[in-house]
Amino acid sequence: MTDTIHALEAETLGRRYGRTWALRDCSFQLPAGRVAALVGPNGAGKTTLLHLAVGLLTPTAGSVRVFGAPPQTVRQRVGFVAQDHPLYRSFTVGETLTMGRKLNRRWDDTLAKARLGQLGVPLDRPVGKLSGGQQAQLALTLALAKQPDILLLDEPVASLDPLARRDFLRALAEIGEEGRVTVLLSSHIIADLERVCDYLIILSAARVQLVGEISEIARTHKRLTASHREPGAIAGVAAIIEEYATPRQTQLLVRTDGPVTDSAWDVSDVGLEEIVLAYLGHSGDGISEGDATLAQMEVSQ
Amino acid sequence: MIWLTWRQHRAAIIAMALVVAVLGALFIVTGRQMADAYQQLGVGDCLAHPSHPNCGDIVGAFRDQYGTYIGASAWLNLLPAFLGMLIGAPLVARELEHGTHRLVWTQGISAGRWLAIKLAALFAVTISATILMTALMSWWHSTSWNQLNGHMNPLMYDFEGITPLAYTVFALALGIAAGALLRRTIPAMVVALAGFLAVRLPMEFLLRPRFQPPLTYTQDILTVLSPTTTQTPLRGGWTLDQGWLDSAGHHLADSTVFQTCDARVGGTKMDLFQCIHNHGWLAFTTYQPADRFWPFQSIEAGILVALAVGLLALAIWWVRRRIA
Repeated sequence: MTDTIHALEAETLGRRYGRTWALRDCSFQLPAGRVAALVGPNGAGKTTLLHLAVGLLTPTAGSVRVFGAPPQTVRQRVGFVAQDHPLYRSFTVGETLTMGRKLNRRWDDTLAKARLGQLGVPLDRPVGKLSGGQQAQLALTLALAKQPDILLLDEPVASLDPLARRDFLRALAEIGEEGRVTVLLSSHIIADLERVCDYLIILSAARVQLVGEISEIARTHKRLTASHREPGAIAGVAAIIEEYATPRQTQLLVRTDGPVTDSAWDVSDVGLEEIVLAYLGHSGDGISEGDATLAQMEVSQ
Repeated sequence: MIWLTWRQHRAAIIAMALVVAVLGALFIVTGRQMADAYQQLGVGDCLAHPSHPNCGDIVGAFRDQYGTYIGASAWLNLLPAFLGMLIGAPLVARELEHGTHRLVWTQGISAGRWLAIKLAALFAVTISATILMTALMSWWHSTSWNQLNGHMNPLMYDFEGITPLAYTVFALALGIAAGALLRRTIPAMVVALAGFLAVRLPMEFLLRPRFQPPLTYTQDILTVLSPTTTQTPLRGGWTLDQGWLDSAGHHLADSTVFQTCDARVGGTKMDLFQCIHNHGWLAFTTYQPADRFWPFQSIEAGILVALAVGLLALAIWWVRRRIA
């Protein structure tokens, strides 16, 4: 990306609750126009990161910038749907839109009403009487009608049934294709995201594990298989993410920085979900310094 | 934001308006009754002319008829606590309970501004209602009870001047701060009520009597029956304590006085008083005089407003720094 101003940029960002770091040393840049997935297990710090990005929290360390500015100063440009899509349940759908119109300078009422019309959500219905899927769609509509430049969604599909989940992700995919809005959505479900997202941030144990374009990540990660051996240094391998050995066979999931030509190793492609799981697997035995720099390296590419 | 404030608090605001309307109607009806009775019984006349025969009976008749009204009005001291519970406590707590603070604080305005506008709007509404109630009650007292009891008696004092406003401001601030810190509506409502009482009761029974040292008025019991009685400095004051002094100025227990001068069978009130007089014993009254109304109102309101400002500052800081 030649753009120096990123949609979202974190620099050694950290947030501590008491003595526990919910997020630590988090550095990444999210270029504008991307649909990015923020992936990690529960408790990895995804919500903390998003709350820092929308200004609901202030950092304990480092900084976060939205379009180059502190989050508190760019509220108008940020659309946010919090986890479990909170709404005022006693309000009608119409009153919810009125609230959005009254509280936001950039507000597209036509878009909001058209969208709800398409979804068949009546304006006079109390929010509490909508289905979970409709509530999620209303929350998304509220965020979209703000005409945001960046849309942040915290576990938007976690509480939805499979059908509502599919509909919601379709809506997101459409928004992403238009390319006007940068989207960052967090999830602990990886399978759904591949169809919608083109950028990935993996967060685990309060730290960033990997950041990058999904196509690039898929291209540079390979599975190496050989008869049992110590891996040692392999030409073209930048880092071994996961190692799995049986007495007969050694299997590696690696990040490459060039073609792996060592004939001892059998090279094969690997799915995104497996890559993500390999990175998340790190958190189990603690995060070493090397992993942090791995993430940094990825960022600087 | 004003729209949102109205939409979220309209039930409480409408309830408050209804309470004011119903009480207002009651005050107008009963206020006229009392004013008429005051005229018809000739209470004003008898108070103005101390030599008036059976003034005690006339005043007694009025008190018997309407004392329950003024006594019942003391319960209205709790009204500010309800404002704190129903408007103050849920203000922040309900948002936190339902997670809707993450909705409303990520719209176009900051949590600080959200709180500032809500506070301004809700204080404006509740203060207006309190001013209206205070005006109504001041009128209600003015046609009769102020002549009988003055303004310092808690039944009057608590509903006149500026302290009712100060209690409203304090109760609301307490509810808001409790809601912000406790993050849950029901416990915040409990704290709003308990905290209000914890300030309200000691204020009247411990602090207010001591805002300035009370005065003591002593009189020979026989002069109580003389025509000049109503002209004593006690008139319109707040009586704190009454008792007896011996000729050396020491307190005497009521039991000592009455055992010594027991009104025996056939003995009249006059015999009793004569006996007390013959012993050289004097009746004393400690009291806060009528002209301390405004100094006391100012002190009390000052304490409450200072508490309210502290609580609001805490709530605002907590919302902006700790929650948002």
